[in-house]
This record gives sequence, structure tokens and C-alpha cells, in this order.
Amino acid sequence: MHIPDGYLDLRICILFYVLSGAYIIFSTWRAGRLFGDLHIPLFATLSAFIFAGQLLNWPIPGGTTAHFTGGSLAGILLGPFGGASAMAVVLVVQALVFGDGGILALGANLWNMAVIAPLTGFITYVVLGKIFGRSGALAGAFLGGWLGAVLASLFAGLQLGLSAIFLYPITITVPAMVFYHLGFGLIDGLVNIGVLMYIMRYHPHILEIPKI
Amino acid sequence: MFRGLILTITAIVAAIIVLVPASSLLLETVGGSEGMNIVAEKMNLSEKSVYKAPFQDYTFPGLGEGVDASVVSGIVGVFVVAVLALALALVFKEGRSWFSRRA
Repeated sequence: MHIPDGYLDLRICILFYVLSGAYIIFSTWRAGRLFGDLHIPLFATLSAFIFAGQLLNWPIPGGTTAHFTGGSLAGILLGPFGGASAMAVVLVVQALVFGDGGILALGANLWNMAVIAPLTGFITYVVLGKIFGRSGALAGAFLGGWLGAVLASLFAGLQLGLSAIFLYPITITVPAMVFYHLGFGLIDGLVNIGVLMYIMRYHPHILEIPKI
Repeated sequence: MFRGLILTITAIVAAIIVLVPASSLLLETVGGSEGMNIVAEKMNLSEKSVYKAPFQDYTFPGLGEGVDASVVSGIVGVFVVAVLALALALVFKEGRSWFSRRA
């Protein structure tokens, strides 16, 4: 999912630096206003968990690999803005310390994984949870994980297709990216359900922490 | 407040020590490439790095590019992310308290 440097032209890189930068600055400002004592360990734990989850690449049938991306889980537990801040920490460390994802493409990667995925996870979890209760929340967590990964890949396809570096249009890049992530997204959905069931059973107070 | 954080980070480190070699072994046996790389390869895209990271591609100085290097760099990464996130969260909270005291 991480776009390296060399895939996107400077125009797309700058556009997504501006969009993601504005969203992350607003998210950080909001988190700064609303973070309480309980948010602090959750923010650090969740960031470390997502970083570790992304380390593990699992082979899946068809010659591809997949890994947990975690953006939707961040949105479910911390809210769309708190989740964006946690994902921004993960993605910035990955790019600067490990060269995972480009420096010029960081704005685009932040948009896909720190903005779109947490927002999707938060919306599906809250909406289905409000309508159907506990089972709805679990279904929302699964749906948010899958849809968050698919929508993030859709945006990655758009960014690649709109880039002037190569000649393939978005009519090719978007289906190509989305096709692979229709399956990969299930990993995020399943991890979300597992984490949420564990939290509901052993640490239900975490779900009471206000979403930011 | 931070007992849970310390326990979880310890569990994450233990999971990395077990699961990173397991996933590497599976990848070596079964093979496979990430979706983004497959799409890029089909579209003749090549990576052009503009920056060399200190632990580029989860390697570790002195350990090379093997599984042990991935495990050590992964553990370093978990600590870097946890400390950075913790520092940021504390700055959020303490910064607000500092500003409210000054007001």
C-alpha cells in the first residue's frame, strides 16, 4: 500500500502534501484540545501495535502478499482525527527511519492510510454500532477494515493514474489497485474484529474513551 | 496508567520475535509480492529513492538484510513509534495545561 518515490509526479505529491497536511494539522490541534489521561497510553500502544502489524507480510494464494494496515482500527478506537494522528506517527517513522514509503509520496500515503482509512473505520463502526448494538459494532469494525483498505487502494490507484510519470489512465490503475485490495482488506477486517472482541471482553473501558 | 502500555509493548516485541521469522519463512517457501509492487511492475514503474533511511527496508547496520536484521529493526521501530507517540500525546496534554495556567 505504501507508494515509494518515483511513482508519483511532483504535482500530485504537492497536492496530497497540502490536503493531508491540512487534515493532520487539524487532527493534531483537535487531539491537543481533547486528549485526556486515558488517551495517552492508548495512542502510544495503538501506534506501536499498528507499526508491528504492518511489519508482517503474509503470502496469500495467487503470488501476492498482504499485511494489516491498521488505519481503520485507529479510527475505531481513537476517532477519525485521533486515529489520523496515530497513523501519521507510524507513517512518518516508516518513511524517515525505514524508507518504507517515499518521502515525496508521504502526503499521498498519509491521505490513503491516515485520512481515508480511519475515517471509514470510524463511520462504519459508529453507524452500525448505533443501529445494531454490540453485533453491529463488530460488523462495522469488520466492514470498516475491509472498506478502509479498499478505499485507500482506490485513492492510491487515482494518484498513480493521475500522475504524469507514466501513461496508464485511472481506468486501468484504479481497478488494478482495488482488485488486489478486495481480498487484502479482509485481513484488516478480521484483525479489527479480533482486537475489538478482546477489548470488549477484557478492557471494555477502552471503548468508553471519547473518540476524537 | 502506563502499566498496560508497558505490558502491551512487551507482548508486541515478543510477537515480532516469533512472527517476523515465521512470515519470512512462509514468504521464502511460498513466494509472493505485495499488490502495490505487482501493479507497479505491470506498469513498468521503477522506484527512485530521494532519501536513504538509517534502517532502509528494515535492515540493521552490522546485521545486513536477513531475518535477524528485520527482527531487530522491527523492535527498534516499535520503540521509536511508542516513544514518539507517547511524547506527542504528553505534549498535547501538558501543553494545554501549560497554556491554561498562563491564561
